[in-house]
Amino acid sequence: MWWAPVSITIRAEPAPAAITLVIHMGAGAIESVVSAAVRNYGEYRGLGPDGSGVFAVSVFAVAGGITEAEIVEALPQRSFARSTIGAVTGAGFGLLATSIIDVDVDPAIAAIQNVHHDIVLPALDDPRLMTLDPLEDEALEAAAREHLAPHVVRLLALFGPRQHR
Amino acid sequence: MPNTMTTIEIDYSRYGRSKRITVPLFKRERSIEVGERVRVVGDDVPERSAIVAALLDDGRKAVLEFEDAAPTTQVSGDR
Repeated sequence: MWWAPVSITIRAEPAPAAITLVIHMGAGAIESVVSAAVRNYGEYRGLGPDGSGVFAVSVFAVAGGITEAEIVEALPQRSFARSTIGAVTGAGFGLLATSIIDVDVDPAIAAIQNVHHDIVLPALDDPRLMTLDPLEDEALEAAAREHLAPHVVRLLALFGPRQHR
Repeated sequence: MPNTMTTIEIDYSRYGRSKRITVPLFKRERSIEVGERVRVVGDDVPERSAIVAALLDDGRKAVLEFEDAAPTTQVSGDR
């Protein structure tokens, strides 16, 4: 059987500060966000400086005709929180408008890929990342987790109180 | 679920309720084999199980097929 590769494309579009960003987060959000950023680092290789990857956090913008209800309903998590593009970028985080292209993805989440964004966490200054993904090396993974955790705490604090659906 | 099962944590924001997902694997997870059942966990979603349908990129990624449907929750206002 042939398996279609998953790819990430970047959209060139404006990012108005007032746009709401929705993140899905539960009680284990900090550890989960760190783990996801480490696990998916290699998927973003080439988007960082000198060919490195980026540590990214998946969010959705309430924009482009996509409502908050559609974003919430497309995902299985039980709770979510809101911030704005301005709050996130004003706090020094990067933001990429990205679409994850995956033929296997559920239609409901495929339908909101045009408002998917990745918040870019501050890079870990480690030359090993030029050629090595944190998935490949436990010491590098540990360094990445230690580096990312306080940034994720700071990021999640920018999102309002958790809402239950 | 048996404790011996490999546990793979995923970010549901990337996959939603997809029945089949492709997941990059940590080196320590790469002992899994095609046909094996794995435990899948993710923040704010109940634990589920999936079957390893394929291994890609020399075992660096796994295609997982869930054995059940992802939970659906009725949205209840508050927005």
